[in-house]
Amino acid sequence: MMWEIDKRDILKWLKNLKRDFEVIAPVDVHEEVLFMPLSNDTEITLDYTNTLESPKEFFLPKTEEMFSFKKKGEDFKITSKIDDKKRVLFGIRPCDVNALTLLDEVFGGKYRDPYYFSRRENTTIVAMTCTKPDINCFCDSMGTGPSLSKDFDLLFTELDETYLVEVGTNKGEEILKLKKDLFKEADETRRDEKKRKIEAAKKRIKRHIDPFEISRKLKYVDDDVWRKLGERCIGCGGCSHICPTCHCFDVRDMSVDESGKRLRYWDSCIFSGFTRMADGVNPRETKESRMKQRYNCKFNYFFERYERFGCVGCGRCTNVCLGNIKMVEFLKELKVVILTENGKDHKKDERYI
Amino acid sequence: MDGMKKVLTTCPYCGCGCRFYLDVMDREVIGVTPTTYSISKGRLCVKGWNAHEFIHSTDRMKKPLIKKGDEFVESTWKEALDFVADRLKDIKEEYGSDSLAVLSSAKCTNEENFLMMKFARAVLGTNNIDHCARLCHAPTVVGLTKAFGGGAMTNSIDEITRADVILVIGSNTTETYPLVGSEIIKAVENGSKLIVVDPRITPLAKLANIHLRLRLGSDVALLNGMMNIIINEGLEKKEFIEERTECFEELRKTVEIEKYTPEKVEEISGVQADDLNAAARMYAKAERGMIIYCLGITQHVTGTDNVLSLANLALLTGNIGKEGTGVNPLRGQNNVQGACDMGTLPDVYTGYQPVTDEEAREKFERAWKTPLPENVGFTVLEMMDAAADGRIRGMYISGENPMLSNPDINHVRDALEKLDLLVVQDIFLTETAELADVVLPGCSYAEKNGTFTNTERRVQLVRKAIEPIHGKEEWKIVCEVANRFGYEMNYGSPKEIMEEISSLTPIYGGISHERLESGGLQWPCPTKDHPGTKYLYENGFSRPEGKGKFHAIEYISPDEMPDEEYSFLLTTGRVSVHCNTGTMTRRSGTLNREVPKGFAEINPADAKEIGILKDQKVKVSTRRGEIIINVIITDEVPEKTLFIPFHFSEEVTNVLTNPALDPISKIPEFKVCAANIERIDDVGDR
Ligand code: SF4
Ligand code: SF4
Ligand code: SF4
Repeated sequence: MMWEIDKRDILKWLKNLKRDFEVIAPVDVHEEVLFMPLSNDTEITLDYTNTLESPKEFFLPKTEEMFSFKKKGEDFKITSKIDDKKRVLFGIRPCDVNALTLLDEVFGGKYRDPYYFSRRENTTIVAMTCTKPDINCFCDSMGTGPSLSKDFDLLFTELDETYLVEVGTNKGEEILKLKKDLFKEADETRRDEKKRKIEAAKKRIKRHIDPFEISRKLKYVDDDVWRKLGERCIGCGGCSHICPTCHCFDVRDMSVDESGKRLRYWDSCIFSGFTRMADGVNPRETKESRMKQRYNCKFNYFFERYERFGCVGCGRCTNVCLGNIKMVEFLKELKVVILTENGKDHKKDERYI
Repeated sequence: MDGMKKVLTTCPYCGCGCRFYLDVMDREVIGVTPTTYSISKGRLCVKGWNAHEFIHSTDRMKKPLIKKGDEFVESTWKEALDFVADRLKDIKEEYGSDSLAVLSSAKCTNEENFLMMKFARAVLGTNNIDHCARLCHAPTVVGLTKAFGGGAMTNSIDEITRADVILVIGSNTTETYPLVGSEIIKAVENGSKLIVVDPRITPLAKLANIHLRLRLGSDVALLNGMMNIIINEGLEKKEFIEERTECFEELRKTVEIEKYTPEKVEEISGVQADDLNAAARMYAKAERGMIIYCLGITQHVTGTDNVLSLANLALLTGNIGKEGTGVNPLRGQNNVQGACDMGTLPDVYTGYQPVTDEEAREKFERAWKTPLPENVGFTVLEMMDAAADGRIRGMYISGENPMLSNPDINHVRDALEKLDLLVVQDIFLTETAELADVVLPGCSYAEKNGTFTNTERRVQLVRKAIEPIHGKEEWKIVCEVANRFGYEMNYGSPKEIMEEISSLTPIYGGISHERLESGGLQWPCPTKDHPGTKYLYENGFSRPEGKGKFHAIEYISPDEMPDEEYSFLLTTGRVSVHCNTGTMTRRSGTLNREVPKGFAEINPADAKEIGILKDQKVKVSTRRGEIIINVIITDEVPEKTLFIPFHFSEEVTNVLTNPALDPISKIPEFKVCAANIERIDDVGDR
């Protein structure tokens, strides 16, 4: 069944939810739209293009205490810290929902990460169909937006007068029911209205790639391409910080007199320290090798492991790149050089891929 | 996630002045969130992205320390401040005000710097106050003031993309001012032309249309050469020179001589005449030509000459006083501009009002209700000399680390050890603090309200994200010492301190914390309704009759040039992950992991010649000292040249550097000295 809610009632509904949940929603703080826990005096905003930062940190915090330890005589007391707060995440876009399901793959499997999944399972996902793509978005090409057909508990879509609300799971149904009087049944014509909105959003997406072609090409790219890209990278690490699917972390102890805590915090393959080994040897010593890693991770390694691409086309890494590297432009210009069969001359030849 | 907050503040590292949010959870700062707001536009450099990491370092000092015998003993604030005030009073009584000196900090806020300045002048009664700008941009302040009447960046960061030719000289911008570097890259992508003047192949040099790889220290010759070409080819802007400048004839006579023809300049600088011709034409013909420079220009015995030469070049081609042009020094630390603006300098009050100017002095005397000293005080290096020979007896150092940042460290150690009283206020027990009699714990930027002024004169708010870790706000410390002298310094908040600053400082006249709530303001901002100033000198220079002044400058070589004994040129600099003496970045896990130790870069040809392999340890020595350090072999440095970053206390680069001073601005020649390099191990033993 489909529902509808008046724009003005959304905040009412969310405020009501705050009694039982921590509600994370897009909030306008100093002109920046950020995902933040709602407090009594915050106003949510519905008018924004993709947020500069994704809500990744509500599942994988930037710094997280895993446990604390205390030495008492001969004994160590270890107290672990698992966050099991009930949350509602309102307004997450399709690209970021797809990023979350990718993180599920990474943190799941044989060694399930209890920290991540405790947050994940205790969070109800209220997604928002994307009607306002940003200039660098290319979700359409990656199959991750601007619409969403699964992996949500509730899905909102902005229509002309109201928001259309679709139910994905019981978890979603539950929070809708908490203030049912705000929702009214939507008729079938709304479905067409939604379609039109999605078509309009698609038209606004200006960047397109063919990820399968990119994936094949990346395997054969000439070293020169990586060298040039490496020269452009200033090594800020912003691209992985901001990427909703980047998930690498490092672990560090903070202790004084053998008591303290173990922290894990976001890390990045852009850093040379990420792969440098104890005696100084580094398999990815140069920036070019790290660039190669980053792009192949997104378009090949992820795919090899999970049969999906590791990039959801949100365009954020382009927004923050200090070296002004524009991912889509770079990928579109990829030229592949293959030694021809006689081995004599280098020739641009794409027959092989 | 109880109490998750995001607090918008300003980066504590470099003068770009990026803004970001500090993410606070349960009173701990756990991360950084970028913002599209302000110049950062969503971008940050590696230091910015990790600017939260050092805040809760276990090395943070929690309590004041007093040295008893050879040991530091924790004390209460009361005991420590009583001790500081009593000892300062004793010294003042016995040896007079000028036996005391204060070093303030470019890391601290404008409000804190203002109070330190007021404390030195009104309470201690001395003009002996300085800070580390001396060690980076003193020639900028002196040189640009002589030429234009003001010592700051003339234009703004967001104008870089509007320049059609950008001349970057003596700046490895992408490493040291990453955000400015990023704007330069953007400009080049949009079609601006780029000229890079640097002995090293910097990342920008790789992008440049022309890279002039000059010999270290030959800047004046090269710039005179460019002007020689411009005048010879009639490319100077005659109307501009006529209407808006003076002393052109003297300049012309100097640069036109035989010595500065492109061929002769090639002999001095090693830059081919053709390349110099091309660069001169490119810059002179620009509609909007912008000069960007940094420490490669200033840290020379000819630092002021270098700056004046850049000013000459801009005046000659009319590339100043309009958008996308100008002479733009990139000012080092987050608040080095602000510390200068606040008058933590031996010769000026806030806003560059001279202490020797009677009217200015009377204004401050009236406001502060106390007589003020008339003589110009000591600069940081003069302070060290004076401490060494007993003219200075007591020093109060706030947030500075001269034991790493000054040249000739051994001399600094001797000087500081001689003092009767050394007070150091810092967030960590730095190399300098180790020598102190009393150490007062300071606050990190996350624990304070106030303002920083970035390199483009933009005053921006710093907001408190967490309460001070040791319980006392930093600005209150000096107030409490002042009050013990019987001089009332009582403010309710940093906001009130800014009110006093703006009432005494015309260029800050319209600046208040209320106005800054909605974004930064660029000085001059004289009145409450003034929108601030994006670029300077649109309608005239701040000199008599509004005219810019040419200075005829002759080339002189660096103080110490290679000889048989010391056959290499040694130059120093920075890497992107670390900030100055590393007190903060070396304690940030991610940053320190990136570059955990010092290194010396050497050209492959030299490495082969001496027989050294990658990562091998070598001994680098100069007439002043020696260090053991690992090498990196790279053709990014020219032959017979060594490059060593100065962030590392394990390999103190500044035992090597030459303390020879620029006679005008008193900056030491960090950028060039003669050195020797030797292998110390067998090649096999790394
Ligand atoms: S790689 Fe870039 S575009 Fe792709 S998901 Fe990550 S941030 Fe978004
Ligand atoms: S954002 Fe750009 S400059 Fe920064 S690490 Fe990534 S590729 Fe390099
Ligand atoms: S160090 Fe400079 S460039 Fe880097 S984030 Fe801070 S202000 Fe910006």
